[in-house]
Amino acid sequence: MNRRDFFKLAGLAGAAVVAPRLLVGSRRAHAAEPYRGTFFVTVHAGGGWDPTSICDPKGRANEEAEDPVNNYFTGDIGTAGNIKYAPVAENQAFFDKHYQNLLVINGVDTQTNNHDSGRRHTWCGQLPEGYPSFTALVAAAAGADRPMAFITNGGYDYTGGKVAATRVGNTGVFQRLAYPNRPDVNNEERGYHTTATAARIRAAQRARLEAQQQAQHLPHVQNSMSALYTSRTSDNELKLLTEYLPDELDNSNNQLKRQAQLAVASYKAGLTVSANLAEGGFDTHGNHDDNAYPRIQRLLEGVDFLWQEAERQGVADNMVVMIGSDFGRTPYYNANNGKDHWSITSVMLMGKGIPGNRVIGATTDGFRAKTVNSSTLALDDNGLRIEPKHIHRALRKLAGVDGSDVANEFFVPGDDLPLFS
Amino acid sequence: MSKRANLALRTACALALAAVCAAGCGDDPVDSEPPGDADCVSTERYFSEQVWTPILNTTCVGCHNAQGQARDSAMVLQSPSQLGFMEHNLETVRNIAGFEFDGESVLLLRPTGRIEHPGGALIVEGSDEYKALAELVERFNNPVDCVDTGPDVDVFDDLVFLDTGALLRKAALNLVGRLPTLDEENAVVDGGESSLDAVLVGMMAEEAFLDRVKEIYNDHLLTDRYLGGNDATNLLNADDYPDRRWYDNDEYSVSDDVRAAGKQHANDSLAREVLDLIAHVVREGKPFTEVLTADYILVNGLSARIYGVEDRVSFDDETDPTELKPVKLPGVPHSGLLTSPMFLNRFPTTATNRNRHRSRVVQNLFLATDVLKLAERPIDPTSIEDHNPTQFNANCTVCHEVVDPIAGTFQNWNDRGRFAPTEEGWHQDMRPPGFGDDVMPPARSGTALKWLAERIVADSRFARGALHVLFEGITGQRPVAAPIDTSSPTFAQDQAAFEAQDAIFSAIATTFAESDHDLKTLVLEIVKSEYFRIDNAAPRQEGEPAIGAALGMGRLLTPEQLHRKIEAVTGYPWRRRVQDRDYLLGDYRIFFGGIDSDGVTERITAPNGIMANVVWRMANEVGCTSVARDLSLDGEARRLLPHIETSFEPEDENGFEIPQAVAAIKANIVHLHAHVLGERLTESDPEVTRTYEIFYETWKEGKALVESDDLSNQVDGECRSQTDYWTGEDLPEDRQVRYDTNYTIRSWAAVMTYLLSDFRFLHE
Repeated sequence: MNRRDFFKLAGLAGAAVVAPRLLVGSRRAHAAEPYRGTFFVTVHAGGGWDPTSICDPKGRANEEAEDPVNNYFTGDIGTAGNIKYAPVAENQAFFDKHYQNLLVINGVDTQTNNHDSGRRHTWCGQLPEGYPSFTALVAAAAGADRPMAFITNGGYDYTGGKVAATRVGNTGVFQRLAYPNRPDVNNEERGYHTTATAARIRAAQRARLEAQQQAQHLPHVQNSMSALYTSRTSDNELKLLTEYLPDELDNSNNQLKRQAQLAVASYKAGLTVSANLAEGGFDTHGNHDDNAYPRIQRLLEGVDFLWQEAERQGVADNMVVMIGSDFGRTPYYNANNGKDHWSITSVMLMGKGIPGNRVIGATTDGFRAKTVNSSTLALDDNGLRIEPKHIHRALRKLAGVDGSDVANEFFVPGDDLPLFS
Repeated sequence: MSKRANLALRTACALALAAVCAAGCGDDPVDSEPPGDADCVSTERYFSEQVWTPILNTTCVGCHNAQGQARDSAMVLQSPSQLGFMEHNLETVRNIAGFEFDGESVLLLRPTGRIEHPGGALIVEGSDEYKALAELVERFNNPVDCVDTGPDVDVFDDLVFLDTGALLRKAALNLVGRLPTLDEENAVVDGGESSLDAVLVGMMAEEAFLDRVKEIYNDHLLTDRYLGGNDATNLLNADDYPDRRWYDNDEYSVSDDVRAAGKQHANDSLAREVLDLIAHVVREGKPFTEVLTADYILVNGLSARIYGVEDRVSFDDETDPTELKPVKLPGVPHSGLLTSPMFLNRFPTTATNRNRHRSRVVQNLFLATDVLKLAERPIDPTSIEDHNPTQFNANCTVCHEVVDPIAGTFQNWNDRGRFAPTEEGWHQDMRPPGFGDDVMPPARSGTALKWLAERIVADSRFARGALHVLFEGITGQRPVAAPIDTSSPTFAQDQAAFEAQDAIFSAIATTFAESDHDLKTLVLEIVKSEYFRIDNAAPRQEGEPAIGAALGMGRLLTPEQLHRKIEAVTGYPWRRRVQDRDYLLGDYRIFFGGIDSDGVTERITAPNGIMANVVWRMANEVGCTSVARDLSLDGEARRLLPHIETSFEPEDENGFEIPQAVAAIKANIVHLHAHVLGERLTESDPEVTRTYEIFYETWKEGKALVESDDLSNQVDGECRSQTDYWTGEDLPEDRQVRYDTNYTIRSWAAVMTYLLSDFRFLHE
């Protein structure tokens, strides 16, 4: 158990010992309100993507150029508004369509080339263990009482014990879960129990759980009781989710699309604050171009689909999307035409409050990070390297959770850069 | 505090005192020690809290370890995963501090860069770290002469532990997925803790326990990813094993029944070979080290044909997938699970990864060493200009010094897990294959993994590795990590919690090793440890640190555990028909936080809204079906409702209470609380009253609805008991449960729904 775990538990113990009913009661009272704040989505490219094949293009000068960063030519690099992109995969379609809403931050230093550490650093803003992902943190701060506040499909989803993470499996059985009191989900007339009996059981459960919590003084167990209590606010909410889910989920080989459909539907139903979407396969140590480009295409198609789905559900104006990865890949090919780990990466952001058609930060031709002025963000040899902590400090402000208890408990130190100004 | 924790901490204090005395206390006998001094801080405690934790463990040990860049220096420190690491490190530092240059200790000169230090100047003269080192040197020179009574923290203070009976129930459910038998309960009641060992050892002889061990190890090895289809057989090289899919080959000559069995079980037999090896070692009472050193693989009559060794081994029934026999594959230098194609494919390598991933997994599982922790400090690989930085640049060597030698021992196994030694040998631009400082002799290159396995099992960390895996699997919690933030207000408590667990873990690991690595001994020690037995804590005052309580155990059950518990309690699994898939192992596994060993490999341990609905569905379905099935049995055979009949109503038609019926109903509720939840209550307990109210109000409501024809007088079709669940045969008419005219059956179903969705049922 690390220090933060202990803090959490000790803190919970104090709260529970002093006023366990208040803890439970306050969550219950708040649970009836559907979440209507901003929806935060992260899209994780698992394994370490290659930004030079996406939004920080480095081409090859000519056929004779040795040890190129990429095999494509510099002259083929595309431009959409102020944003340059690599002329590979289906990048052009994505950037042409979305550049006006897209903020690219290049030259982000993850300070590691280790998968676990890089994934953690990118998504929580800190290299050491023990900090929740941004999505978990914002869900904890803005709606931990929602039964599906934080949906995760992978990536980095450590919660710090502050919010329950929800994982969705076979959606074919979702109806059975949405209507747990119906033997036949299509027959609303029949129930295992009458409505009054079902309500009676729930009331007795709540009362018993409160009594159990008062008698229990192990924070670890209290925490579990509290989480169970919160998760049981009402099964009506899953019914809502089934109302907003498409009749048939996408059945292509792009899992990001299914993840997006479910996440957006859950947000639409007022159940969800944030979601992690994730796609793997970017750890391209061998045959980089052949392996990475199809993945990049799927990734960007998935992001595009996410926005389409958000539009369809009428929530696109209230969504923020961040796209990133463990780290970057080397500015050269190895003996197997692959690319190995590289600590410099990029992130892309879109959505509410994110200024589009903009690039912040840069890298050298050799894909080393350039420094920026902390006030103007202009390239500045005497400036600082952009690190994940800068992005997360800005994200927390954007989400309005920078002063929350959970943000203070998992404080991310660093300069405030005007990334979203 | 437990006796063992007390003993361990006292031993530590005694060792500290001995060390101090050796340095200057003269011949004063221990008996003449002055009384304990609450303000006294021993050198050992000072070292642990002020030097090791904030300085050495964060700044120095990355290089100053047996595999690190400074491994050839005089200061080689041990990590917390090594037994007795603190004492070792204290003595190492004491020796270093004794060297002086111009009258100043090397311990102060090197880290400040005032004399040569290849790692550079890491500590600023005058800083807090410097002052802490200086005081340590001073303490070495002028030992403290007070008696340290230890930090004012007792991690097990005020905790409530399970009694033996409750411990037996918890252990039985956890280890073998069933409730204790009456004989087992009586044995423990009569014999107390002294008989607990025998009962638990008896349980560990059951196949269910071996399944549990496999389940725990699969959470790490993840080879169940290959179950189903041809996912496992397809991993084998067709040239090496031309009959790898013999069961699908019409030209392969084999009897129909064997072919049918092959189609059903052959792939999964192969997929399970690693986990079956682990179970085999435990079942046969062999040293657990054999999971790495076994010079054989396990096959059944079906997988033997996959490997083409059906002529080398005989079976009583070659269609029986559970009949496993050891066999050697020609030309393959077996080394337990390390050389299994399943293991090697589940943790594959690439031309540039060069087996480093495999090295990491092996160290994590079998040496209690998480090499990724070494890379938690910031590095800047983009600044690297060195040739071959993994050997020569500190940004890289911090990990590669540890990872690469072991990676080299996988040299004969290619990316598809095929034994394919190359003529070129191992990469010359990497560290040579080895284990720590021990370089593998060239003569062993053909059996490199066997060489590695021999060293791993001889290392004290092997016992720790098994302990960590089993501890997490059984308790649901990871070992306590050493705190690193000395400014934390709970640092002393955190440190005490870590040291207490370290002491207990050291004792358990030693016992395990001394038992010739008998895994059952290890499990026994875990189950009997304080951590498994903690049940509650005394109320704490506001502001009082909850250090002991922070160690509280218990977990939300995994889908597999909940699945077993449902059947253990009700007598029936949660699945619609016998031939169907269990809901919690199929449709709901991922929803309930489980893993698929493929894309989903981390369990969710805190309940969420969807999991809550899984529980509702389960409690409703199992509640109604289990009541009807139980009522179709005679009273003595019933698990759930032995004290009542369906005719037992709490009131007569005039609304007067029927005392005998009410007493029986309450007696059955007491029974259910004990049977389903493990709660021993009396009939006057408020919880019994609460449950009775559910029964009573439900009965009253339902009976009125039936009488007014607003509700059927029959049990819902889903919940009736008209056939034997297991055989499908019709039950005799007088045993069928179909009608519920007085609504008592459905009232008991409501009670069961309530209990099956209770926290105590879902959380162990």
